[in-house]
Amino acid sequence: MTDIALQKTEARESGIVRFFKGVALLRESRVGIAGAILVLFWVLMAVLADVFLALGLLFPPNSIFVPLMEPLSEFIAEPGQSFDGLGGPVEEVCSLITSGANEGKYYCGTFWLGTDMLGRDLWSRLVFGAQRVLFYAPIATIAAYAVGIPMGLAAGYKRGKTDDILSYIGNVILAFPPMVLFVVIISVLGSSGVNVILAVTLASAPGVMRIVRGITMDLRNREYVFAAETRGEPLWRILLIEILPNARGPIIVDAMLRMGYVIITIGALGFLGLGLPPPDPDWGGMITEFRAMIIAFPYMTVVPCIALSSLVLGFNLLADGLREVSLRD
Amino acid sequence: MRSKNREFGEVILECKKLCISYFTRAGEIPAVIDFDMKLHQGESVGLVGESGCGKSTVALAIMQYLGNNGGIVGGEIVYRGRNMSEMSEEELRQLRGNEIAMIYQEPMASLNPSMKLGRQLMEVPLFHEVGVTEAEAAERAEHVLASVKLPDPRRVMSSYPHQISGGQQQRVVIAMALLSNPSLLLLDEPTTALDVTVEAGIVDLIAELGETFNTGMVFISHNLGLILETCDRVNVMYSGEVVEEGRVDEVFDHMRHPYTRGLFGCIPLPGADKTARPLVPIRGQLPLPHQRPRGCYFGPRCDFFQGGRCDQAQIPMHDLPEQPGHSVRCVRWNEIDWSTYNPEGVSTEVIEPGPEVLHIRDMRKYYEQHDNSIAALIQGKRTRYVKANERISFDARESQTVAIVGESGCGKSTLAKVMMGLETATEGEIVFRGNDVAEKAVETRSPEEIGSMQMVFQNPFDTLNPSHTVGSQLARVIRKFGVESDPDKVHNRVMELLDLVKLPRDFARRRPRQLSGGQKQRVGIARAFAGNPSLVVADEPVSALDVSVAAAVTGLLMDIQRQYRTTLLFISHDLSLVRYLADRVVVMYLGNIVEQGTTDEVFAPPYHPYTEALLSAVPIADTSIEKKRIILEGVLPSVVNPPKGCPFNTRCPRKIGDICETEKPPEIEASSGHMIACHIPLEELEAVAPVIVQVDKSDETPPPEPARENAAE
Repeated sequence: MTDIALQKTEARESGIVRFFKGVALLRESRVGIAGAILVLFWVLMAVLADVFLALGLLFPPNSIFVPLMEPLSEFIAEPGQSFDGLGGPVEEVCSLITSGANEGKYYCGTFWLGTDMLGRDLWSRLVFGAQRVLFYAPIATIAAYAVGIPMGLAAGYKRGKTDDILSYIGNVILAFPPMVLFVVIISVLGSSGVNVILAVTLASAPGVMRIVRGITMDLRNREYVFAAETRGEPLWRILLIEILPNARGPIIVDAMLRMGYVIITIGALGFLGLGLPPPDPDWGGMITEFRAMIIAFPYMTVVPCIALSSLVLGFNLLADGLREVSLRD
Repeated sequence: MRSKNREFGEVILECKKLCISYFTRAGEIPAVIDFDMKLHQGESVGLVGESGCGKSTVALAIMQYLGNNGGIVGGEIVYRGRNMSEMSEEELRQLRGNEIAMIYQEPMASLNPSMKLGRQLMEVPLFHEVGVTEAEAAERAEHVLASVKLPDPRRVMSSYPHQISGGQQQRVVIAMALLSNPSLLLLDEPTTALDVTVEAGIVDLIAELGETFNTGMVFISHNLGLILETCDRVNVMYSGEVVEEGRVDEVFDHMRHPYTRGLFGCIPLPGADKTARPLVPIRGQLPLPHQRPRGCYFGPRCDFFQGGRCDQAQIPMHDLPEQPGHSVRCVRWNEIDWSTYNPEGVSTEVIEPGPEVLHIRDMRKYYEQHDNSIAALIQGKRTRYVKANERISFDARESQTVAIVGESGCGKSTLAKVMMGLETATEGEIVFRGNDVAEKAVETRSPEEIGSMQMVFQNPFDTLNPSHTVGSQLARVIRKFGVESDPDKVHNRVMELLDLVKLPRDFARRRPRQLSGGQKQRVGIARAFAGNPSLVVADEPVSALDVSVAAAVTGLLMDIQRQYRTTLLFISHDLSLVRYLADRVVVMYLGNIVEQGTTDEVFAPPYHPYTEALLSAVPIADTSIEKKRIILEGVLPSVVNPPKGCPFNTRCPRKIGDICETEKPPEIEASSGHMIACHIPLEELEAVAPVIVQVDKSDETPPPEPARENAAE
């Protein structure tokens, strides 16, 4: 039955078209669609956060308004009040309420998810938190692959001593509980975005290496690799041009899973107070900030938890979907 | 070979107008159309055809194993008078274990690697029959192992699958199938994964089984020779349809369908010759299931196609009145005049070989193996040698085809690797166009040196990088070998190469997955010839292809060779093909050359006993050929620990005594250039009768047939 795909003459398509055709196949997997929707939601939020802010749909994440507002409560301001994040006096930026109990006061928007102990809008903080996590997580993942792929290619292709040494290093790192590793690295280097990326790279690269090594060990026995060897191709060409492109399927699926894992890791670091430095919003930090009040004000803790889980779930489902689609035919 | 005039019992399996379809993304795809078959007790029916013709689908349908996306859409399968599609799951399960058994291509995949074989065998009676004790089951298992001619059944019983060889594994699988005493056995390419000498043993066994156990068999194969040796009747399938059906001898001797005729034209039978009578490939390609033409599916490829008749309605089967039971799906079955049809290809001049190009003397390749176990440490034997190649000496001349023949593990691939510079020789010399390259790794060779010795690989599905287009892969080779560097000239050269291998030029933009197996192999050939090589090593280049495609690719390879006066080193296990295309033959066994000479010398006595066994093992699809049966016993020894003396002594049917076990055999020069490494004196080797003999069939009573048919034969 493989011959069917064979006759579809898609000879003249560019790489980009083929990439999107591949992505379009995802629609055949329900799980994949669900994952893609979740991920796309947060990506859109993160990308458009500043636009929303300019349009007045979001509040500045670090501005302090009214503390302890329940979700869905309206932001009602007294005349003459002024808030940092509103961009001007209440009279100018908010609308006057002309009837009802709050007549004469000003309506400045809605706290869709309420405000925290300090009076910051949770929804705005969540969106800007997404912006941060979706900035650092892909960079950290790519960094882990940038380190892991060459190691895996070298170990899997060369075998022997190279493999022994690289695998040994990898195993030593993998032998540490990752959390301990993170705590040590961040405590030594201090907490900053770059250091989070460094820590995640160090902890994930051995895992990446193992996967790439396994695929390489299989691919190196293919005849096209043998053909490249017999025409005396240099090592880098065999690894990067002959082998790596054929390993991309499993690597992309794994990258999605790993992205979810990196997001959890960044969250966990934030939870432990080792993550991205305050006051900018960070999901892990938000979870831990008002943890003590969880009985009285559960939404402050639960809402960032749900955000974090949904994004991780999204990436995992996306990975499942990609795998499902790639295994078909 | 099965005796051809046997009486069979009642009908056990009948397929009536069976139609099977698969349902995929692209819609319903008919896999088998209008399939009729009757199988009697003790009879063996062969299904033969190229890949994708639906033969395995039929077997799966009989087992009711079609899977989620396949289904029987018409007709019925009747087993002992009962329609199988009306049976319940439970009934089918009972039937599958007890009465119908299936044997697959890969024996290792049919055996549980973590269970001892004895236990696996005993499970069959223990699970399927009531009141069988462990002891009885063990006894029956041992008995059945003996009946499939496994030496030392008791040892096999207590072994794990990986501890026995592939041929023995397949015997165990057959034994397992026989344990429940099935009345129907389905064999799906049961010997394809095995070496020829091992295959011969299994084929013998299968041929005997029908007689001893009175089992009905459906034998699926792509190899016409195997069908001749194992089957009573044959169904030739093409694109989901049976195109010809009948008794094996009738179909093989008096084929009526142009496709069957074409198939026989594609296989190198003993009469074929690369210059005088070359193979005739069937033109065109197998139609895809959803692109089958109207009317006769073979129409577009058929030389006897008549518009208006062949492309109208579906073609029914026509019975041949003079041969009851022989029927053919062709509207022109009775009018094609085969006597005027000249199936012979264009004959060419014999090419005189030029000066010597390759000169290998006493080449050895040992691999070091480090043993880090404590036992090895104590004994001080830390390093062991794998003797992959031992004393290899032979020559090849310009535009000569030298075949290297041997079974898996004989060291042919190592030889190729050393020549290509991926490994360096341990000792000896490989002089290629005046330079010794034996110890020159590929990194130290110049682009011209590399380009002048290239390789064609075996597996079409693996030979091209799936991530890059055909054009870019060819262009890379051209640049790498320094043939051209200007982009326009490179492009032109890519086009020339595609022309050379007779592929359309727009294939340059395609990716390998858009190509069929034969097309990929053509690109592989183009790649090898990109640097204008003077020597090409072809490692089983057509063994993974269908016969009609293989014939075309072989023809192409030889055309190009003739054109460029290239030396071809043809590595193969297929002796029929080797006889057809080689000028010289080198027979290898366990890293040693056991015999070499011109093709005629090697294929006629005196033989090395191993060559003799190899020759007798190759199935030949010609009823007029009679062969000696030599079945090699025992297992191929390991190259880590090769036998002392003659490497073949452990399996040699003509071993003369202790000398074979202690001394390396001398190289007897039977005639100039014909060398045999054996202790048996030359006179005795010369006295052996030829293995393959063409029998004159005129003394047999010919079956009744129309007068003009006689002229064709």
